[in-house]
Amino acid sequence: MLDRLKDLICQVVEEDERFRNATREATIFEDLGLSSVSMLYLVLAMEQEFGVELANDTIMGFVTVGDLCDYLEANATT
Amino acid sequence: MKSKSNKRSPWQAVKKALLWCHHRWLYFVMRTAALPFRVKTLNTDGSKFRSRIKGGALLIGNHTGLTDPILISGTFRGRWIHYLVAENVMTPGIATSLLRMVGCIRVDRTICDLTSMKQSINALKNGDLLVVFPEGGIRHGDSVSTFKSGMVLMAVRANVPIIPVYITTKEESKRRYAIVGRAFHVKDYCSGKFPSMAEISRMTEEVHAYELTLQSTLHEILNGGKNHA
Repeated sequence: MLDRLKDLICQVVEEDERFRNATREATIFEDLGLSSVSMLYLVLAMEQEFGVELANDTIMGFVTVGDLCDYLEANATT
Repeated sequence: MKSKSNKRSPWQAVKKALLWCHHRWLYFVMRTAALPFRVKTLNTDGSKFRSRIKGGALLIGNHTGLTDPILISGTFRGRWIHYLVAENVMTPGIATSLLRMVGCIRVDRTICDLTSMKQSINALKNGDLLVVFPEGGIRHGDSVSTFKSGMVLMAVRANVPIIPVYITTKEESKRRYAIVGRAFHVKDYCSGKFPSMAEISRMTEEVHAYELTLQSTLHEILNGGKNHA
């Protein structure tokens, strides 16, 4: 799941080593440097790619890449 | 574009008719509210603008005052228009309920507001117009601040064009003028299943640059009456 998520981040944001080498502990806004618009775009892409449905409350709980992976592993339908 | 079902139940037809009446009544209210503001809308060649926009589109413009949404509603005849309104304007209460009734979508700029993004995208996909002021707030004076790229993200996800509008007030007459520019089509800037943020940023910058061009064009028309092709 981590690899699929990193592929999606590279596709949506940009192909960058910091995304390719990101670990589960990497923070979304500080370590990866995503902006709020990039995060929104990533979330919309996650919904389309993984068949999940997210809400504001859920997004506010995402701090690290690991949080995203855990959510996807628990809820992804594709 | 709205899809039409060949088989519609009587109740669906009644609902659609009631919604049409609701939209027309609210449209009448907004048009009436726009009357005192005497806004004149032009094309880039100085001719009078007549809206022929079909289907969903994202209207973006500079934001000089609270009356800007009313001015824009007076420009696009017969179309159901949604407005993205900041969280500090749409606070809980009767006024907010009324704003929702006329199609306003509340956006919380302090968080990653997925809810408002989805509502906006759905409105556009539904064939409605959505007005966004991408400077992120009211800016007094003639300067047009950098545009935030969230509006391009909406257009990309809904696959609708972006149409820039510039609004100004002629000092001598205090009359409000608006100029409507050309449509920016997503497919001209973005490609693939998930266009990159770089493509979205480039489109945002070009829309902003074009808005500045609209500003110059409108001032030239108002000051010199010069025709522009």
